[in-house]
Amino acid sequence: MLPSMVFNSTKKVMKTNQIFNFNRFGRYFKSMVTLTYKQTLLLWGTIISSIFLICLIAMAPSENQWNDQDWIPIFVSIYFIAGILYSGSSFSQFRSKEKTVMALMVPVTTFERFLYEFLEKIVLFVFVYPIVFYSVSSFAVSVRNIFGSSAMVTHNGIPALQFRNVSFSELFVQSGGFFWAFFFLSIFLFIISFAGAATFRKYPLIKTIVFSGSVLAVIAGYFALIIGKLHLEHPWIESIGDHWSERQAVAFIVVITTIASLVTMAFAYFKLKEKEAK
Amino acid sequence: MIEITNLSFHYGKQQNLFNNLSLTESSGSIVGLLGKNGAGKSTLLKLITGLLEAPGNSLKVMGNKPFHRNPSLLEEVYLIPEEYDFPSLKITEFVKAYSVFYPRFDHSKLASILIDFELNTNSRLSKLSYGQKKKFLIAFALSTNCKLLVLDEPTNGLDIPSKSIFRKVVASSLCDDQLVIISTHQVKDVENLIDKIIILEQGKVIFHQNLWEISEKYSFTTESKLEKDESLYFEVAPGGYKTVRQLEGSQTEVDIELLFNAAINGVQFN
Repeated sequence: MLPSMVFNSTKKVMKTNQIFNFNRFGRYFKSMVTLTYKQTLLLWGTIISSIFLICLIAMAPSENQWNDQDWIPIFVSIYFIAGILYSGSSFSQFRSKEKTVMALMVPVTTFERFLYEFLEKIVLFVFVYPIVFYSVSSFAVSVRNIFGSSAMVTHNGIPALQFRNVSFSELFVQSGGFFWAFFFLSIFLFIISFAGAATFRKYPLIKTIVFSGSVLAVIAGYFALIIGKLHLEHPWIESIGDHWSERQAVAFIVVITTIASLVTMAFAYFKLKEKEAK
Repeated sequence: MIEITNLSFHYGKQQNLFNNLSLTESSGSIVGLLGKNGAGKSTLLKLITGLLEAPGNSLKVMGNKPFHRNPSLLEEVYLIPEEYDFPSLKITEFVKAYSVFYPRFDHSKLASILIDFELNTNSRLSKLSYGQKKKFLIAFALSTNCKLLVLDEPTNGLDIPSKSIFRKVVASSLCDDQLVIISTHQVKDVENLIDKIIILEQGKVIFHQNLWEISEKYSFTTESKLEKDESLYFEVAPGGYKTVRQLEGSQTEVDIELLFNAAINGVQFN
């Protein structure tokens, strides 16, 4: 083939697909699943084992006083910890110089790379975690009921209630609008962890926690200084939130976390882009 | 295929590594890129493959700026880096994961080269030795049928039989529309394989010629007694002297090591 023909064919392809191409993204998705499925299975195996053990340990001291509300702290705490760890394992192909060179030569765009990691490390987790938690905690309840049945207290000849499976109506529906505040806050935290994985090559999660903790400490210190020590509080600051309805408070949190999430995502994208420029 | 025009490049605040370097290379060749340590061979390969940014329009590969990292260009470029890190996968899994990115990937060619290199497709990449990993990477690179193959020290870690197999498979696997650039210090490993040589020295191309042109003009011989006045360059060797002279009789095989030393020491080959 003549060189000029190579140029023409290359340019022809370039016009259409230099940012996102669905077929190419599909190939990349399949390729990454093949490359990382063991790591993913290991992570989910750890999450599943943790849920099971934590549920059993939490239920162990209770004789029969377990109800829907008891699930909330377990569900929420594992959700946050596992989610931060899971999203912190993003961009694993950039953890060493050698891997980075090989990853950068794969014919995909930065946007496709970024989108894959976002879908796999945040979207997938957010959707799969409730299902996994429900299944594993229900299994833990069954196990607890088997071993706990002999110890069950009988009141006036009526057996006490057995342990009940987690109820998402209690978790989500009855929490009202605060579910959305909780949801958006969790996404923001996961995105911070995700951005840390895009930024730091070595020990991204530890560095992200230290960095984010420092930023939070500075902000908290600043407000403590101007309000507590210097007494610069303004009536507007004191009354903030006093007249807000629950709906307004939730909307405020959702808007703030959404803006912060988008800014952090943009930061993560440009950090990934920067890896190609080094 | 590669057009470099007045390329100047430096890392950070360091001095320029390349000063107005110009070079054009078309398809259908196996080019040896030679130079002393620190001459900028690996940097030039990184610039060509888009891992570093060349300023302005000073470097184009197939009409594109490689640093833009357009996937359509990356589909046509395969780099074997000097150092690499494989995931813990079987060869078949790796091939399944990565071959889809290269439109002309040839699975039968891969199978044939793997047999030549005595590699089992069920082997786990992380369990292979450095040399075996390199052999697999060479086999994969050749099977992609990319128009530009860039090999950085491809024979490092290969045992003696594998080096001759390497020469055989590279020579037999390429088409006329492909260009192969091999950067190496092991010039003996690529003798009888490369048909063109580029020598980098102090940020400039000091030699860029076809080997057949050299063999038509110069002779490379080993002599027991030296007649200094007639030789363009000589160096002491076991059994006498290795010399480079203007050709005056039958052609000799080009001694790349001697050619390199002569060029580095200022001999002009026209």
